[in-house]
Amino acid sequence: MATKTPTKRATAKKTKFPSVAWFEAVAAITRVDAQYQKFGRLNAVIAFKSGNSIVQANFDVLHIHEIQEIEEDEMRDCDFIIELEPAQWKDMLKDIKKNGTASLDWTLNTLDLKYDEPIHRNDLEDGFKADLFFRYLPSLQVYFDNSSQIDTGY
Amino acid sequence: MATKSKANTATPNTFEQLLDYGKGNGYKLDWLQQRETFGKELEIPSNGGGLLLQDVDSGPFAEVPAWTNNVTGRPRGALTRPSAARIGKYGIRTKADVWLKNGAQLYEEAVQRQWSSATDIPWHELEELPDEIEQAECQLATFLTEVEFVAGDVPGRWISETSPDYYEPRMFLISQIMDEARHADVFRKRALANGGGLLQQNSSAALAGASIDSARDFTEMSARLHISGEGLVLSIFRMGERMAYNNAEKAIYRLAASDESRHVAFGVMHLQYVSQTDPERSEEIHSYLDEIELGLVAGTGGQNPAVRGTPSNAAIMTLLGGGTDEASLREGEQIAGAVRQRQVKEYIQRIKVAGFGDRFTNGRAAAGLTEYISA
Ligand SMILES: [Fe+2]
Ligand SMILES: [Fe+2]
Repeated sequence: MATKTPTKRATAKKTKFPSVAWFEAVAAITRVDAQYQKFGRLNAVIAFKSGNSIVQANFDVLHIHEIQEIEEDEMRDCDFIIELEPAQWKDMLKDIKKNGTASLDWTLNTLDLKYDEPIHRNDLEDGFKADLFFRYLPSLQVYFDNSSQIDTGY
Repeated sequence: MATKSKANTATPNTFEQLLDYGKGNGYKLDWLQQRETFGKELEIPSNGGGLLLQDVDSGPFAEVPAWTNNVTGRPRGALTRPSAARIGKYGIRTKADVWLKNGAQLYEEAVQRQWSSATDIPWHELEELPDEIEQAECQLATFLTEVEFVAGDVPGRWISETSPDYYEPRMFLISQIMDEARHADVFRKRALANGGGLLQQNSSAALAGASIDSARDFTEMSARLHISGEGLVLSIFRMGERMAYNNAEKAIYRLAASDESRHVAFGVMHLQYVSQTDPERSEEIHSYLDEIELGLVAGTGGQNPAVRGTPSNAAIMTLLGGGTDEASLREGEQIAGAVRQRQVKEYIQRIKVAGFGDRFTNGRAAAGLTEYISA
């Protein structure tokens, strides 16, 4: 997992986080990422929650599709949810932008361990589904690390 | 796999004609039989995930018998040959003893998510570390090399015990052993790659292995190994990313954690299958969990590297705190304590999914568990 050099696109418009467009943009980069493909198949519908905004994505084999906004009560249908405060998402994404990949303090795993409660959960307390977070963590980290390649607005 | 073109040409009539032709030319051809799936078109998934076992297993090939007398090594669904010799010492001939839902999926995932300790770890990013940190890394890597060796050994012996009719869990275990070999090799490499070396053997790891290995049946082994032992090791690997001092260590722990969570998932799903299909075993399973929980809260059994007073825990405290001075160790212990609490919480969630969550409300669970979480 070599560190990637952040690429700057001076003319690129900022893509707002969180939004369907942002998750789509990162998905488009990730689908063709050799490291992501190397890490192999996934099978999980994941919700990403930031404040009141919830975006769901279906990580299906190596596809990432069905990216859409969902309501709070639809999170129960997701395999697991990753929730951070808007400011935490922002700090994580800024760290990734700065370093090309998340530095040690800002990986999803570190964030999951850092606070009193994990950042991931299954809304029906299904521990098997919640554990998918651990199974797919290397791939999900590649996904978020790829956000260094777009310009994010908040 | 029967293809579409075969389906068009090899109608039962053609088959009969060919058979007659062969017999007419002096061949007995009693082995040549037409299966019920012959000529049936198979849908090849187009989602890029390739052709999976669960895609091809259908009809008689997907029928998993509740009990089997298949001791000849006959692939599940194949036709019997009366003269076939008994070759297997298959002690596991009852489905519930080894089965799980989605075993084939877990196996396929394991195959696709393999990685190489040689080329997927950025070893060139290892850098010189302060002596006490390097020593702690080496002590922990020694412990993990030892643990991973045991983790391969223990499930290994159950593979040859399992009838081919239950090939999915069997093949998952084979993939697990590959994973454990890779873990043993990556931690050995870490101990030796940065001017350190393997340090002191941690006898509790071997003892833990011996106690798991003495399990009388597969479910007991799986509860002890997959849910308890590997659940604990998974937490250590996750903590490992926080203990990492460079991208090489970060990659080691992240990739190993992904494998380990698959092993834990296997155990949870098997135990869930037992709870759903074999309620008579409930008391027996609870008694294993009684012992496992003692290990969780009191550190008996030698499975938990984060238990106080062990060399591995001292190493963990040093790495988490960033040094061996008192303040660093105190900080390291504080973080390790939080991770131990998380270990217990995750264990509770997994046991609930497995169908034995009643022990947490009926007073059966180890008294120290709740204290441990709220400490
Ligand atoms: Fe392992
Ligand atoms: Fe394992």
